[in-house]
Amino acid sequence: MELLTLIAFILAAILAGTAVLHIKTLNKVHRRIEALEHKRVSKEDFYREMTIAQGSNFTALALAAWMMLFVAIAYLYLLVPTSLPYSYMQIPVVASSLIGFFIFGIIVAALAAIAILALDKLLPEHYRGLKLTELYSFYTLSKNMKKFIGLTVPALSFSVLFSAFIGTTYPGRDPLAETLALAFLVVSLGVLVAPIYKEAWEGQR
Amino acid sequence: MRQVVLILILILFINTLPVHGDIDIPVDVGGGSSSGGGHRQIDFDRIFQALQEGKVQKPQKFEEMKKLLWKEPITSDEYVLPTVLMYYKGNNTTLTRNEPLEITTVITNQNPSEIRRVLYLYLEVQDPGEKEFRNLNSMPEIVQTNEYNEKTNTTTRTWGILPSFGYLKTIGQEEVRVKISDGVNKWYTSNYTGVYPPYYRELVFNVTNSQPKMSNLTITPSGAVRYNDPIEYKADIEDLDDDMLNVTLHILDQQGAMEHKNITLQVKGSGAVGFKANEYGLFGEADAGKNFTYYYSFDDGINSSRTEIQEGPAIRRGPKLFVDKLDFTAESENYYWWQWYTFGVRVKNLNPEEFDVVFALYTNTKNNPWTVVESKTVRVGPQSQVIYFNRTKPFVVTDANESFSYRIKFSERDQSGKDTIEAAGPRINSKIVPYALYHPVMIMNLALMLLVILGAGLFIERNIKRGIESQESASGKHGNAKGRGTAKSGSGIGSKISAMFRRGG
Repeated sequence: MELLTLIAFILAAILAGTAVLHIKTLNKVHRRIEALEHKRVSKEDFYREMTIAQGSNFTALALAAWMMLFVAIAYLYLLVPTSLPYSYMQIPVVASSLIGFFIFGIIVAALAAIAILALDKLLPEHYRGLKLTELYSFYTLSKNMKKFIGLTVPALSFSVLFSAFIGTTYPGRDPLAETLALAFLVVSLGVLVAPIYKEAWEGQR
Repeated sequence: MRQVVLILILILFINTLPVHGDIDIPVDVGGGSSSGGGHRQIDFDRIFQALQEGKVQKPQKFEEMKKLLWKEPITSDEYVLPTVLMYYKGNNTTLTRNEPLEITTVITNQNPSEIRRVLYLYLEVQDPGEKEFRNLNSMPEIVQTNEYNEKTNTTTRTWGILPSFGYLKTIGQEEVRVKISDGVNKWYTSNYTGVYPPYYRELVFNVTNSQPKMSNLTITPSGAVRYNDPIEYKADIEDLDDDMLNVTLHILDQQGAMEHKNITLQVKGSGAVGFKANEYGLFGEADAGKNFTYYYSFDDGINSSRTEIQEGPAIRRGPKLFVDKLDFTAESENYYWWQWYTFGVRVKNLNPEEFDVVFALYTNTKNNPWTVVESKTVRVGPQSQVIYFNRTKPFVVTDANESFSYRIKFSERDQSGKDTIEAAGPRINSKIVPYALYHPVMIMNLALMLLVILGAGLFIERNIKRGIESQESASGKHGNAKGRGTAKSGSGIGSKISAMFRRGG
């Protein structure tokens, strides 16, 4: 199996693990709270009480980072048909366009934004834990962590930049560019999901 | 009669020839076992073989044997001839040739069943203009003695061998009767007198013919055409009798006085009929500049007819192109898909006139087969000239790394009688993206994308206000904008949760 494909599976596993750990941590805390209070605490009250202000600028930056994450993944895996049989290059109208790269990125970002907004608007209050818009609202984030999450935007931009470079040289291949694009992507993903893993790890101790 | 004779001969042999064979027939010889009784076995194959050999080798003896074995049909003074009459279902005796027909014969036999005889019926017709009747069925229709209705003593035969008069090649009066034989007597239905409808001695029909009709006469393409254009004469023809029709197209000069050519087609019944000029070579180069007229004649073997003279086609003069040197040049030798390509072809008119000719450029790749790139109308005279399709961009990104071919199609025929000239090009470069990463277009694409995504993040947050809501929620609950600090100093669920998050509670 090619390294890029293997890492795609690892990225998917990390994202899925993040979702599972996030839900598990929230449920665990909810159960402990009920045990401490000796009464049943509704999920709505639980979420309301455990919400931590992260600031709107940080939240906006985090949302942009998550959108950039999906754009970077799409640029790495769907720009050229190296790893997958489908690619941006197979849509001649877009690929032949002067602003094809822009359109491609914006379409992916728009799909991510729609998914984020749909989760936010459609899920009821007792499922707030599943909303990506409030992902960091249930965790304590240090200033450094917030800085790192903010820095994922430029890091992911570098990943996109290297992927675009791979696109411009296709069908030629540049292993260094691929590695760098992948590295920036993996590191950024790691930073974005770090609070969840950190909390889960510390909760185990 | 022969069958009766043969059966009798067989019975005779069965009773007289004790031979071994493959069929056992028990024969009672009236004694006990002591008298030598038992089985006599008859070999039918031998009997048949003996009869056949006798018929050939000793015909005289064979005839004598037949006379000897002849058994007269049952005769009785009480026997009366059965009544056999024609019956026609319908009151219209004027029929077109292919109109469905149902003729029935009704047989009434008042004799007791013991003395009835088998009847043999033959359907006879007298065609228009003929003086004699003729048999339609070579094998007779047999009416058995036991098939009559017990109450009415009647039975019927419907003649399926005469479903219509479609076979007639002449029209007029058609008479139908039946000949009857009971083995002894022969007579006709026409022998009876005092017969009243719906029964008849014989049926008399007035057979008519449906004349074919032609309509919707057209020539395609309409207007002035070249002699080698796909000119097609079309018309609809209708014949209710569904006959085989001879349709002839007559092509005349402009005045309709002299016949240029004629073509005959055979068509069955109704439908469309068409004559393709190129298929029959109706027009040649020498006809350019002439106008023609035409008409159709048609017949169904009985009646013939023709249409009015119609206009067309008008054959126009045209150039005789000489085409060669199809070529192309590309923006660079790299043959990138995004580059321009200029195609050219050299043409001239072999005739002295000048004509407008339409040239169309097509390119062909695996993913985009024969796509029109550009077309133009050029006046072509006897002077040689090169027709250019300048700086075209015929390819898209999916054509990268594919071979291409190109073709120029013209509205007139060239020296080979073709209307296209074609050539193969090289493989298009496999490179897909026209710009380097540092190209302003690429920088603009990526920078713009980043800005839009950042803006989208801000826009979403400003609309859903999750960050502000969190702060307000925290400050509302604890009276402090710094949620984290508030959570630490509080004593409610919030502070417990906060504490738990610090170290899992």
